Amino acid sequence: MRGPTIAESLQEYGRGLAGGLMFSLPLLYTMEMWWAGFIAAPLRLAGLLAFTYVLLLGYNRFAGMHRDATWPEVVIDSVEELGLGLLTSAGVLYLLQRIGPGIPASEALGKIVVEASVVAIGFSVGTAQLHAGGEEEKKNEDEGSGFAAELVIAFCGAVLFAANVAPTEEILMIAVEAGAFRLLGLCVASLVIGGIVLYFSNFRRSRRVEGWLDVIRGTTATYAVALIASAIILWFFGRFTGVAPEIAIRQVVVLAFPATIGASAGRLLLST
Amino acid sequence: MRAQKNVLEWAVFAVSAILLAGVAATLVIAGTRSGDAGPSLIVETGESEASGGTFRIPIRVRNVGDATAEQARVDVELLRDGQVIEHAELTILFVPKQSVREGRVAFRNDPRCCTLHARAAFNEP
Repeated sequence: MRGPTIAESLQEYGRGLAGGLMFSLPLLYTMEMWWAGFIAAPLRLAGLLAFTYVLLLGYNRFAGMHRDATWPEVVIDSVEELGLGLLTSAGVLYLLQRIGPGIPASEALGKIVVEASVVAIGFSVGTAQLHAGGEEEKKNEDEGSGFAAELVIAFCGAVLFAANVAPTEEILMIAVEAGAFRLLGLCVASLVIGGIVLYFSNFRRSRRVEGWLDVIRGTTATYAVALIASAIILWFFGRFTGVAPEIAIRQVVVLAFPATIGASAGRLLLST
Repeated sequence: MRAQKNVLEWAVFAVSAILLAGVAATLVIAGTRSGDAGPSLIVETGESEASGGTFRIPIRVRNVGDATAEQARVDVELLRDGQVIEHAELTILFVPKQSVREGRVAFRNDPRCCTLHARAAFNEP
């Protein structure tokens, strides 16, 4: 089989760059993200890097550009995307004067890593999604990999959407101020919207209803993924330290609403 | 099986792998070396300069601790014979660990007449 030419590779990187910036620009312009870069302990940042890498592995394996890729190829692609994410994040942060002369290296590195995690996922999604379609790549239109693959993609979608609002103070504010019944309402709304997007919206690639049990199973699983993704992100931003369990759960519920939309719509949009 | 990678793709992979290994190693080393001492702020005052009837003093706040200080409030007092004759305040949103932030405070009295006393209070994020 013929390898890609340099020009084709450059096109692919160009798509990745566009996708990376599209998904991450709101966060590159968000000061809570910069703060997270110097507030988070170095080991937590290293953990974020590892977490992002695992997400990339999952996305590239089940939904990425080369769905027929072998594991070694997926590993290599994910390293590339994370590396390019770091470079892109550093470049934009430099232009925005968030890093550069006068800013200590540890502070700059923290900011770059926090932003790079979102840029890298955007890179991966952009490479796969902004593709004009064509020759060899789009082979397996059928969902060969099944329920587990869908959950991985849903998880990526949840992280991508939830990350946009997670670093802001508003999550805590809503969690503290909203009444218990409203939060319960938010749970119900999350489930209903998730179900609508997945099954009843005639969305691109939304699923045919195969009985109520199937709808309940898919919707519940999606919401569960959204809850887990929200909890992980909130933990990263230090939102659980010194907080009563009830407030922690309230924050998870608040963030799980956008995360569910990411998990359900993302599940349909992100998969190629 | 996908086609072979070309030179450009291998180069991008090599750079990415080195970058990633470097960043991860730096973070892990920094993480295992840094203590749990929390933020620790040192306030330094510079030479006063007169301008428009007031005297401005540059303030440097240095965080020598292991964590970021939030909402650092620097209190600067002019003391003569143990009496406070004037006091000024400065708030800095964040002073990250091992970092320096700068600002200025203004006094109506000439600070050369007195001793200057500066201290900082902060929140831990």
